[in-house]
Amino acid sequence: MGAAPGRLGDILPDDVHVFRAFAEKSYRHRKRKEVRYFAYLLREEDIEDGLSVGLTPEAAVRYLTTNEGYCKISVGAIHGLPHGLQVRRDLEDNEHAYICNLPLRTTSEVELGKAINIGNRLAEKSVVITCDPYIPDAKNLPR
Amino acid sequence: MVCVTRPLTNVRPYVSSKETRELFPASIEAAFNRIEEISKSGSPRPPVETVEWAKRVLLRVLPRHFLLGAEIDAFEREIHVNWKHGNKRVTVFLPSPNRLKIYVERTDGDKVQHDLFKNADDPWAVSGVLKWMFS
Repeated sequence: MGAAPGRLGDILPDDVHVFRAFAEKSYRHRKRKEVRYFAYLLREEDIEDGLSVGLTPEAAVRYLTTNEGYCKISVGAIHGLPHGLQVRRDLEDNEHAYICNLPLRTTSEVELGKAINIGNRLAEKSVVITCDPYIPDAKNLPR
Repeated sequence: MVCVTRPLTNVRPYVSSKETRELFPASIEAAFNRIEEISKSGSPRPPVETVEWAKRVLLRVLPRHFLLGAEIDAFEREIHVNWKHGNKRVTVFLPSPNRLKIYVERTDGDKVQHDLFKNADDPWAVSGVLKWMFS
């Protein structure tokens, strides 16, 4: 997985939807068509900015070398959870954003419990769009 | 000295005792196969020591049929084992050898009760939590 460009901008309004790519098969349950908490677990490399999401499906998968589909979630649903989460625009990519203030599970036992709980809540509020690899259409091809 | 020659077909093949077979029912085999599978893909992946630790933890799950609903996945170098039954969830988190944490959750509508068993490094604790979940 490549690193997403950093720098946090404004908080996105609640009526916007964002897309989260499934970097691993474990992020979703294909048979049940459900998102799993793994999709919302922060990694060490995400600490600085937050968890990467796209404002379009294309932007969601842009910084991944492979993907196993993606899901959709409303910004209002994320902001509505009682955990102080914020969805902020990426100043270096207009179609990209970050979910900020997610706990890092490896910090402490308390943070581990919070991380799984918040992951489960975000997963419940997400809708699977596809469990198959998403390949955006090529642009600017000669006719 | 009398030498009796028996045809090979009369030799009883070795079979393990009933007790030994019960130690490795299909549920254990499926869980072990899954652990092996997740340990061979992805990067970073769980080290061999964590893989062996996960097997030792799951061997202690009693009764064995609790393993049938287990979802086993790797996340970076950790192994997570998840169960869901009705409105209850259990996550056994295996970050490294000899360490395990158990997360439990019960939802009632929008209300969520959750807890993390502190210092639950004893694998036997898992069965007790699963008994609660399936009750």
